[in-house]
Amino acid sequence: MKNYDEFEKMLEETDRIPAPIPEQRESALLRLREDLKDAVELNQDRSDFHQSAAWTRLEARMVEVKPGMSLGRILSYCATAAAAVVVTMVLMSTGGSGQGLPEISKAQPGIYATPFYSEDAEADVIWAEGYEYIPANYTY
Amino acid sequence: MKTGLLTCLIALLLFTSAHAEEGKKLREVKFSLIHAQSERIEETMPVAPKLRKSLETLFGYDKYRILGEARSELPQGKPVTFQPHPLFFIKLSRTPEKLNCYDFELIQNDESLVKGKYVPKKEVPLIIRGPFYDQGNLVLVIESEFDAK
Repeated sequence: MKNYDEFEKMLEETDRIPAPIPEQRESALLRLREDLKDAVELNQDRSDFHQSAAWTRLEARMVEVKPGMSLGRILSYCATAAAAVVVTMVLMSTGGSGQGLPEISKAQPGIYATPFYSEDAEADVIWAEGYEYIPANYTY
Repeated sequence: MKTGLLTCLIALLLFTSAHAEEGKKLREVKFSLIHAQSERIEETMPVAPKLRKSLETLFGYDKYRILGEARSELPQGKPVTFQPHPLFFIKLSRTPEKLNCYDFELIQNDESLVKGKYVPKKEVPLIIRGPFYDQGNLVLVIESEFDAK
């Protein structure tokens, strides 16, 4: 059971709590302080029975307080979605055009073939050098 | 931990939906022999605008004309020969060990020039630089057409 002295001690402790997320923590802290102040005032001239009842009520209220859809949580969801998009883009860039890039297994001696994907031309390309020149009057 | 798992799951879903297209059935392959040169040729058989843009980006010539075209379906397990022009032909057959992958062999005058593998992709042609011809260059292009659904 908490008594007047303990409530006062707790109230003092709330003054020393750091507030890393100002808007959220301060409002929760302010509410807690208000509740503790009420408890201190209520318990100042009350019997142990009344103090015990006040403590039970306060404890019940503290349990009921659940985090809502805070700005931090929304930001966390947005960050998750953004990360998913980035991962997808990485997968697509490595597994999209990179996947199925042409491969050269054999070339005639003197012919050098290099496969690549050209983003500007939007095409898979095999750039081969070393062929024999074919004149316009070539007959086949 | 939970966030990382969720990220991976969303990414996987996005990736799967983006690549669902690649599971589409390859309907037909077109093989074209193109003559690229900056002068002295008439574009009697002009190249489609999108492909022309790709060729201009890669080769920089002003004029492009199709010397020959050959189309065919690719039956499972059987090699197909495309000969758009007497100068060149290409053999295509499905690579047994790789999904959606095809073996190709480029042949000129019965001599094998280049052999390899490629994956046909929708709206991504395979452009092979051929030999110098006349005052320009020959270019070999393989385009793939997929089923609509």
